Amino acid sequence: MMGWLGSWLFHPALALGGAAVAAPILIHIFSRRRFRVVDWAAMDFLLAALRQNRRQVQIEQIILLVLRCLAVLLLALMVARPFLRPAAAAALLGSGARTERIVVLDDSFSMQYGMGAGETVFSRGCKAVEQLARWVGSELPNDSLTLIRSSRPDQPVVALPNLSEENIAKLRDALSQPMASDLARGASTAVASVAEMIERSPTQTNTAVYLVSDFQKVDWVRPAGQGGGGQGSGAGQASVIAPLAALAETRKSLRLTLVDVGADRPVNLAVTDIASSATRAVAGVRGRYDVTMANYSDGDVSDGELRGSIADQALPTIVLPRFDAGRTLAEPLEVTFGQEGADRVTADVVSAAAEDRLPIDNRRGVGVEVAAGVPLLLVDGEPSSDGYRDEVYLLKTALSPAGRVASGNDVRVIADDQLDATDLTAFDAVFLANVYRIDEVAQRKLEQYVRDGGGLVIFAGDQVDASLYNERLFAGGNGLLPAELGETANAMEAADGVGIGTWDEGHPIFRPFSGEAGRLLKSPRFYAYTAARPAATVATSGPTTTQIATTQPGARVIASLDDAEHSPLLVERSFGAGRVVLCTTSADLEWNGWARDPSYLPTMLQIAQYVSRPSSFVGQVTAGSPIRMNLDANRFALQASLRLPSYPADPAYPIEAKSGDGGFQLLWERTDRVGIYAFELKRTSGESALRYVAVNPEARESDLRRANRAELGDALKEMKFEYVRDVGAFADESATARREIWWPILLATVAILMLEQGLARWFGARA
Amino acid sequence: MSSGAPGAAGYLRPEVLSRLGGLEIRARQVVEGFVSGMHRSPYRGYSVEFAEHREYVAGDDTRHLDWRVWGRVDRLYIKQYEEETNLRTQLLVDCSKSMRYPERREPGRMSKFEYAATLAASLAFLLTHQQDAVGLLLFDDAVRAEMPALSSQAHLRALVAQLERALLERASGSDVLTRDLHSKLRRRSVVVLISDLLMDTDALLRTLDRMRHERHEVIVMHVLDEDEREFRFQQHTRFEGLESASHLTVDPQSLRRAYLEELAKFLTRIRGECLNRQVDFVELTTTQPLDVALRRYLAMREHLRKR
Repeated sequence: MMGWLGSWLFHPALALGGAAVAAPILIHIFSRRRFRVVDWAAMDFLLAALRQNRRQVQIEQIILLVLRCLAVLLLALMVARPFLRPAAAAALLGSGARTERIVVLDDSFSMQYGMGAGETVFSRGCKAVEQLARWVGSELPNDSLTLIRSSRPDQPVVALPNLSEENIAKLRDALSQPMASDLARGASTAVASVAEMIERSPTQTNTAVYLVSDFQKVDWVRPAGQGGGGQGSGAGQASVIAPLAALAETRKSLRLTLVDVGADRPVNLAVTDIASSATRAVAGVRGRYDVTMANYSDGDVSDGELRGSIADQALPTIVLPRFDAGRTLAEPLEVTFGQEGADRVTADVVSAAAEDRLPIDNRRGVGVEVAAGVPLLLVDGEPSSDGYRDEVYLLKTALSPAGRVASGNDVRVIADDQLDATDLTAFDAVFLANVYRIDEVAQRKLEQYVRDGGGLVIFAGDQVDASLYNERLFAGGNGLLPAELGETANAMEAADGVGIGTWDEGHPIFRPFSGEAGRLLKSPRFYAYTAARPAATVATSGPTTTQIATTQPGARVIASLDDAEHSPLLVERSFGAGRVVLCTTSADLEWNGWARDPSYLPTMLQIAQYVSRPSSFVGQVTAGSPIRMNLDANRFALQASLRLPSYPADPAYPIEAKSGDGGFQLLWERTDRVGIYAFELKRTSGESALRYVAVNPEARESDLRRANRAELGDALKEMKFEYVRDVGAFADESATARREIWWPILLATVAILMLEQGLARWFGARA
Repeated sequence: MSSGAPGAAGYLRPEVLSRLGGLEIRARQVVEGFVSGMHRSPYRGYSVEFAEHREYVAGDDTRHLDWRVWGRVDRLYIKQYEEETNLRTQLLVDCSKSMRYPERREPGRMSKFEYAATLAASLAFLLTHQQDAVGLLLFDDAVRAEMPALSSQAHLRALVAQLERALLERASGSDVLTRDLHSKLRRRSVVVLISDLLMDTDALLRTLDRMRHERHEVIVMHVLDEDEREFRFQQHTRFEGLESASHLTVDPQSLRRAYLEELAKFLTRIRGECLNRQVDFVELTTTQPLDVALRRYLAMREHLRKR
């Protein structure tokens, strides 16, 4: 009771003076007992008068009595000094009843946004929490307070049974510890945990939940056009608050307050993605990383730069074109790794003018496993000592050309009869060039190889037994071959054969031929080719095609000839984890003049790169996701150590590989901090080897645009909430949060007393 | 005016009179004061038969100055005439308990009965000095004293003594006058009823009817205390009936309006009934100077003389 009074009275004890309201009643009763006695002659008139207006007299007396009681009550109230609070203060404090207060402090990395003068949104949030605790402590010291971070909702930072000075000091100490995380788990993600926590407490408990956050739109507001329950930003669904809303249905005392501490017009540039265009990094081979950047600011950026580095060695700075507000930009980063082993690439976006105050997402990295070369196997269907008559001589030259620039390919050639005896797993891709027959052993071997991720390129030729290929490799559309082979077409009749008609310009194989370079593909001439019907076409004609359509992705023609039928030249399909490309002409000059053409070499290199088995090494993960690294137990010891980005300030952690489905694996789950994580592996030979994995910030979290009150209202329709934008404005000086209202009460008291006097006189005068 | 020695006219005021000792002295003072204030002396009648001369005193009608005597002796004499004393006046004075109000009274305040008795004695005094016969009848629920109408000084003293002896112990009775008056007033008279009229109104009206039927001229002098007329009580009061066992504890302020309405209703009725019966109705408050009543009486006497 006193607590409740204390929430709106300076001196609640003095309010007990309100009991003096009984005074006028007692006076009334006593005055009825104290009377003078008059011996009266005209009793008849008196009795008649009494009969006439007994009811009116009673009503008048009650009115006067009520007014007197009211005046006494108001006087008592005035002495107790009542006060009002601003709406925001009232929202924060809630009712005066004892309340369990749960404060969720958003520690996602967007809260590291700088506010100037060394302050961040997160430190502002910490200050808001402390001010809230201090203020509630001064008003309602018996309330409990639990502080949790959104990234670790199951581990409260502090749980204070009451808000004594000592406990508030504990809270201050806890808040002064570095707590901001690099994760993207905002306040919205902690709602379910908070709901569980409340559910465990008794039903009758008053509970107030405060979410202290920057309330990013991506977390709270459903993107336009996305219905309830749809996919997308995940946390942005209406169901974010659903666990609390469901509780509020049964617990009427549950209150939710959103304390918005976000910056008003945040300026932020971010690297949102870095990805290699090659499947495998090879020492000495120039590779390319596509870096995607986003401008999450209100203004355009015209002085942006992209700064790359390999193993902390800076690459030439790339000056970015004009970067429009709210847009993304992709730029390639050309990289050449010096030697085999491990390396790491980082990309930073920088703008001097934009004053980006959230540096954490300006950098993104990727760990790289650099191979000595890409092992390729060429199966020669027509070996010859004469290079121009040899089926794969020109192909081999194209894949591993001599000269200053290395292709990175490590090519081995075998005759077709050696195929059965060769271990294919040592190669990233296998090329079958004019191989006459594929026996069952080879078929199974190739299928297993491609299913496990290996690449297969099949060239046609005069030795290819189409019917056998169709039977074994096409298998009704269910096999490796992307297309059913038909008759060999002879284009010699046309004076100059046929050329390439169309090709998929967006396909990785044809990336070197974008723009003007596309003309190069127009020059090679083809004199013979095998007709091919891609698997998807066959799929509609037979009972087995249903199975194809449902179990295997269909084949895709990526280049066609310019003959009348637009016969396919290159057809691809996926098979298991690997890829297969069919070339309907020969690899040598027997059916075409391609190998003499400049477009031959880049096309073959691109095909090899496209189909090659991708590296199993995962060089980057998002903060909060575990790092999994496959470990070849034949080459490395199971014990390794891990250096966190904070190394050497923090020591290296020992880590041991565990056996799993795909062999041994190193697993590290605590990726709270972004940066490069270095695994030090021990080779069986005793040497140590490093592997780098970059832990990058969640790209979505970089979008700092705030949801305003109206948008939050729309998004959180299921539950009523209070919204407080600025805690500091009133809690700096708690006195400003109490506006005394004694003077209107004084006026009211005087008015009531005057009314009482006036009425008393009027009633008397009428009488 | 209320302190020191008042002039003769000052004795008309009740607060002055109440300080005087006996009723007779009061009555004398009243009448002296009253007469000295009049332009004409009420003491002599003016019948046709000359009686004697008497020296002029202030207030005598100058029409009766005997200029011939003035011419002879250079002194003013008034011609006096013998008048028939056939005007009988019967004073009916209410001596019921209700006339005691106010019982607990502050100095200078008269009870209703004191006022009524002073008024009655004054009238008797005035009438006796006019040679008119005056009788007295004291009544409550019965006739408590009666004196036939005579005009001697001895009778006057006896009448005053009778008034002083009144006990005021019984309640008013209904029909007491109707029942007894016929036997008491055999000759046509002027009947002056001095009462607070707190009695059975219907019985009162029947009495008036009877008196008028017997051709008496009737003046009703209705005496009420100021409290009864104004009802200005402030604090909580327990009203205990003087003539009944009933009592009532009320906030008098809240009841004042209704009380005054009831009183006005009663007065309106009495006034109307008196008018219907050609009964003169004089409303008196115990704080009012007594000349009001005396003047009304004389006006009536004059009216009767002219008839």
